[in-house]
Amino acid sequence: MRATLIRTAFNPVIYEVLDFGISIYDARQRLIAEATGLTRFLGANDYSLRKGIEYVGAGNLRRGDIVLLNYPYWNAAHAYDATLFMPVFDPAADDDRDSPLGFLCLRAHWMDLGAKDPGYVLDSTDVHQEGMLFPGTKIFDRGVADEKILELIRFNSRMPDLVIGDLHAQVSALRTGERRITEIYARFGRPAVEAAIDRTIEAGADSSGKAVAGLPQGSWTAVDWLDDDGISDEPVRLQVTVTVADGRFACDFAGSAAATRGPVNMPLGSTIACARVAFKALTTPFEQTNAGHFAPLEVRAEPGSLFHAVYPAATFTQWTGNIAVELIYKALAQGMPDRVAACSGGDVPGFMMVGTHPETGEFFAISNNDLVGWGGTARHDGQGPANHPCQTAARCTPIEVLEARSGMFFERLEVRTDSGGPGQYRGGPGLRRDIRFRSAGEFLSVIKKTRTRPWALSGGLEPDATRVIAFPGTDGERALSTARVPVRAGDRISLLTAGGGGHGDATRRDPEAVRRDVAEGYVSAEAARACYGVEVPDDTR
Amino acid sequence: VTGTGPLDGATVEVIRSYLVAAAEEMRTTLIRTAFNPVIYEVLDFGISVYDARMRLIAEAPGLTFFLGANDYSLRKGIEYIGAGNLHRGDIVLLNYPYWNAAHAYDATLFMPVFEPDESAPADTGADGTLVGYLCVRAHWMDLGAKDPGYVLDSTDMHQEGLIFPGTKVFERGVADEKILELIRFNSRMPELVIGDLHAQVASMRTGERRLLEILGKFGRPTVEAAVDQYLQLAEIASRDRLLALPQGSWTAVDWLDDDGITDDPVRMEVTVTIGAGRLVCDFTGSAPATRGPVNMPYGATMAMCKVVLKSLTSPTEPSNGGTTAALEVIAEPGQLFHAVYPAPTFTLWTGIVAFELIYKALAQGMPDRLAASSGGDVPGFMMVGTHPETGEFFAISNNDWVGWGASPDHDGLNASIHLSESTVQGTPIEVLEARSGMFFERVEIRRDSAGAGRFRGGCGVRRDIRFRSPGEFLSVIKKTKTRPWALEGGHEPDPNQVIVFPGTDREHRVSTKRVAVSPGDRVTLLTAGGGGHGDPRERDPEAVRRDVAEGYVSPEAARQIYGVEI
Repeated sequence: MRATLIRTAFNPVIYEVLDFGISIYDARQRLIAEATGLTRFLGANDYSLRKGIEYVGAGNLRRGDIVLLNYPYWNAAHAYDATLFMPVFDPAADDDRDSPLGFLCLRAHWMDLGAKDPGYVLDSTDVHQEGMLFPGTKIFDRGVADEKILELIRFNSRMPDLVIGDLHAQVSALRTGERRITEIYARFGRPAVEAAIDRTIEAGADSSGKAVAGLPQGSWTAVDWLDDDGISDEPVRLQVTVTVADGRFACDFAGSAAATRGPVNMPLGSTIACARVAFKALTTPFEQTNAGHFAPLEVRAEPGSLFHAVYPAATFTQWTGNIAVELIYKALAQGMPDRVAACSGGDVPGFMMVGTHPETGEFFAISNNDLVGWGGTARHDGQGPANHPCQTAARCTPIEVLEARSGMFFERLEVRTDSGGPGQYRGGPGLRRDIRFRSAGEFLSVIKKTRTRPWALSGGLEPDATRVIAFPGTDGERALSTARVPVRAGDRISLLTAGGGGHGDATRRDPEAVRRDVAEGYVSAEAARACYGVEVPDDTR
Repeated sequence: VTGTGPLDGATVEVIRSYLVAAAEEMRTTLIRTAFNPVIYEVLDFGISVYDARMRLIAEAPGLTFFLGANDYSLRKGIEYIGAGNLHRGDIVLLNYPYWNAAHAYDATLFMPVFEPDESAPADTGADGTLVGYLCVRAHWMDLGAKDPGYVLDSTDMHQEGLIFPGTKVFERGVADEKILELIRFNSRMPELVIGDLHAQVASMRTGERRLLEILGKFGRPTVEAAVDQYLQLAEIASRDRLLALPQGSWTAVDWLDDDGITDDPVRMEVTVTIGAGRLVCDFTGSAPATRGPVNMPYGATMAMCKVVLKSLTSPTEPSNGGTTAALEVIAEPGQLFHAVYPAPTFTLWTGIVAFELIYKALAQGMPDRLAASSGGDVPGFMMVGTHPETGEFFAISNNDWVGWGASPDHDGLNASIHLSESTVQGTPIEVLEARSGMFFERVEIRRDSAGAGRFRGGCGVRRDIRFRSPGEFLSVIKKTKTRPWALEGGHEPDPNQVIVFPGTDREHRVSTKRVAVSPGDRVTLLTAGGGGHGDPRERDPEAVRRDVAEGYVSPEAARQIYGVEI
């Protein structure tokens, strides 16, 4: 399904960035398999499927039906992360009477559904500003496309060719999955497959239960802050209390801000997905995920709070979730500093340009989620620059694609010396990216953690926060957090993404490692002396 | 047409009146069943009946701009769907602005009407013979545009609400629940919108029944012959009236305050030509399409010109396809009066100001036949917020009154709905107060607001609003920076003024604006009077004394402007 999607999708956010989630469910809507994808999408699919089936009515699903859902509070994501799902029936079944064998679910990022602004929405104040909403609409009815609905998408999108193309790519992937599922059932027989599924899910629950029992037990609270909600400049409080006890792993977001006016609110399903990412990585990181793995996990957030958005709260800029994944680690680190890493660069430094293409004259919107350093651990340095830990399977949009499809030219892309937080094990470095614009348009900076530093652990040092500098070296120079900025040809923007936090006292770092860092350019000779107490002669550089 | 020769005038008139009565009954149904007061109080709708060739054969009194636009929408909607794909009981929803000839919230529903064939009874599923179309356009309260209530600063169509290019909401009489659900989920006020949609459907079904009754009563050939005859007569009458008017070509210019994005005024220019039995309105010289939402779809521009033509040629007769056949409208695609995708079109106030611009051009050729400018625009206002008693979201509006311009032989009307929408009503204060957080401290006719003249303009109004609850106040007006024009030496009145927070440090004047308000805040609207006609010194002193006695003119103005001591 994944290969089909990547081969047939129209927009690079899907086929280059891999911004999608593909999940397979049994008849009881239990996750039985998934493909590598955006972890936050994968974790959200269960919630969407359940809500979508609730809305359509399980009895109203027929062979060949494909349902589109993007209503954020049910979809567990913002409106542009369109979820398509379909039931799979035994070929011999009577789909009017019999229940399906299972369900397939495929979520991917669409480029435009007519939200208030092209590209990305940074300052919406209700869901209606965030694009056309589908509560669970059959776009294929018994295998036949509903042209009326496809036409509505076409007329309501600024980039209809991409969106309709991606929709059909999702449909192809679902149909590939349908063929394979029915083949598997035909080959092994339904009883055998169902028995195998039960065993797999039991095994998942068993191994994750054991992992939870093996963790230090206790309850820890952590707080972090979003830069702002996109409307006011006030920081937004995030709080989680993680309790590991009695075979349960509970994340309670009480103490977090109330729902904000701007679009940083998280639907509950999206919050659950974040908790799953943190939980899975900590407990059973090497096992393929199924419903059993999440049996010990509990997530609590009051309706109407930041982590449980209700209609009509704005939810477009869900960067909150990126930071929340690491906030869970921050809480856990109090009880198990040797098991979790220090904070990474702390957020996903996203950027985007929208405008009219200088060569083709066509409207474009193209984005990239930039790389940060990862935090140091009790045993090794943080990696980096790398994609943020909340979306490790995602990739950068290649510079070649960005340059060919937009008015951006990249003057520089390099690893930043001294950007990783020093420590016995230092954080991975962030990067510097200098953009010069070849044509006029709008530049969007999408990041919610530039005002506070990533946290360190066990005496490690905190790195500098991410900085996005618009128009550097001019009178108009200023630092951005989340912002939409008009740009002209010749204007420049510099992104300085944060490195990871350090782990352990920097003076205990192996001097050999420090000398290597200096030789490789990760650490300057000055920092080696000042932070690590290691003198490195200039000629080694 | 039928081979039986022309029908007698009485039969033609009876059939025509039956058809108009059918449209009137559609109107009654709509008013009785609509959910939102913009429809049932303000009468912000347009109802039209067409024959199988899409010629307008009857309409009900309604918003003139909507009526004139229906023809264009119907044609584009049928083009999109394909005439062959329409079946009995289908109802199509169209609001794509460039086809709909209006902004996205003025939703057009249309349906084909089929007469069942005797040989193929209805239960066979055969459509029968297409005999016409019905069209009902009405203002919906919300389709999820960028802002609740009204959109004043959009920069593309996609910010202006959910778009339907011509979508069947009913198929062969059965509602498409999927589409209704999409409307429900994409609207901030779904009960009102779905309620109004069903009211439009009820109205069309009433029309369908009546149309079929008329055909049954008179027979299709007779009805078709009657329609042919009265359309032809109307066209001839209209061309004759044009030929009787002064012939020539005149150009006029006016300005919109702004486009909603920048503060720059927006130029409107029209050259009107009357000759050879035609009326040509050419908008060359007007601004290119603006970044903000004051652009007019071509169909909307045509609708505006139709109103002018109609008022010049057959003001007292019902409209039909013949009445406007003599019209030609020229506006290059991509300019202000011919918006193309994705130009924003939400704040179509342009049409209101440009409507009088056409008269301004014509007045050069026939100052003794036309009135001076009215207050010059529709001073619209709106409040959105959470209702102080019910806690529910509300958005409610009113189009305020202005004075009308003076004519060569009488004064302008006081405090009336702008002439571009003369059948519309103000939202009653009782409704505004009950359904919003506004309290009206004062509504009164403004003394000395009219342009002086031998015949003076009508007076504008003053309206003082105090807010009982927080929310947003929207001022929707595009002519506050220039004065309405006068004729033949008459005086120009003061322009419209919308003053927010009067008497406080925050006091300022706004044009089109969305302003956050708190309880206790105030807004004052001072709407413009009409322009004067002729030298005020020539006004009958008795009339001036009566004006003073009745409070329209102050004793000072009587003395200084009219030279009459009271």
